[in-house]
Amino acid sequence: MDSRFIDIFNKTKHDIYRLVRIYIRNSYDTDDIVQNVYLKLHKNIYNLNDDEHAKRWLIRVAINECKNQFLSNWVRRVIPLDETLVDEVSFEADDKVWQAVISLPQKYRIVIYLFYYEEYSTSEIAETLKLKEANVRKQLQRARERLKKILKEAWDNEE
Amino acid sequence: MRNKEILKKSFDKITMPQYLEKDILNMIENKSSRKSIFIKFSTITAVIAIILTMGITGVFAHNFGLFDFLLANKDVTPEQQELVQQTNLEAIVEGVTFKSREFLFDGNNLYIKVEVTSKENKFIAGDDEAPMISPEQYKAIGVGLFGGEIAHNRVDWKYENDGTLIYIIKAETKSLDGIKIRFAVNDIDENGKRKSGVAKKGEKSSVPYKELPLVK
Repeated sequence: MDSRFIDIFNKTKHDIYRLVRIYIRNSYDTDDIVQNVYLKLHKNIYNLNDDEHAKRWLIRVAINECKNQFLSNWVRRVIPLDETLVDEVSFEADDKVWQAVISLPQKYRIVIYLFYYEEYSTSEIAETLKLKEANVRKQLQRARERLKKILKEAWDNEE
Repeated sequence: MRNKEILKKSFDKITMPQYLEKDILNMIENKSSRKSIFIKFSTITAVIAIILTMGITGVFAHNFGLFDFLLANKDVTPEQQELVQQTNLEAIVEGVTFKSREFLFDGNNLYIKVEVTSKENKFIAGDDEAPMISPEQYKAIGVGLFGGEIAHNRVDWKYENDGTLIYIIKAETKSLDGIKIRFAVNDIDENGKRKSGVAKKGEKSSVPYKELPLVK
């Protein structure tokens, strides 16, 4: 097997899995999407200059795959009748912070992940997500406000 | 900085499972070792892929039937096509039209297809929590079967390119007696959560909705 593929795979596998998991929130679809992402990496690996370029490329491909999945696939849920027709989200993890992040709307989850975990600047996030930088700043601000509300603790302005 | 560290620590717990790592590496290994064979048969594969894609698109085009969906999901066998029954359930709630034309009952499970269109004939995928009519209105669609012995619904939904929202609802029941279908339009907040709160069993919901008996 291509050693460059193995190298990039080992350096990025957890980050790409995490990104897709945050976007999709469904482990079965996450597995399929991550497989597709690395299949595309295998096909395009010689067009990628270095590890940093490869990682950014993988993040863009992963986000596009998530969007495509969301638009094309059926969404399935099981809804108990004594609750509501539009019910609450169920969580798998017991980590409070993770639960708080995963409960945010999709657009906020992704900017929070890219900004805080991947340490992208707002301009880099804007470029990756094809948004205006002002929109990214606004989304980050709103995401922080919601996290603060959910977690009931102060969030510093770290931007 | 403290918050950033808390977030990172939390994210770090989510890692790629080992089975997936193995699956991906095996997949790539197979791709690499079978490259020559793959090239030899690439034309045939492409033709098969196009045929399959056309077939799947045909099945899941906007006019696909309830039975097509159930068969694709292996919920039914081809012989059960005769169990599909026609109906004519229709309701308008808050400008949103709900239509149901067919259901299938096999003695243990009840399946029904519902098509939903808004006045603007446009839905957007605001989030995967709830299909929204528009980002400004923050309203979400709710459909469900209840009554009889039904305890929960399995709901599959999908947006079509023309803006129609399609639901396939499954409920376990051994009888159609007393079963109703509910069409609701809920106000939600920006997180997709209901503004009016969760209606408990026995409480009257403040959410605008209509209920129709499945069989008159």
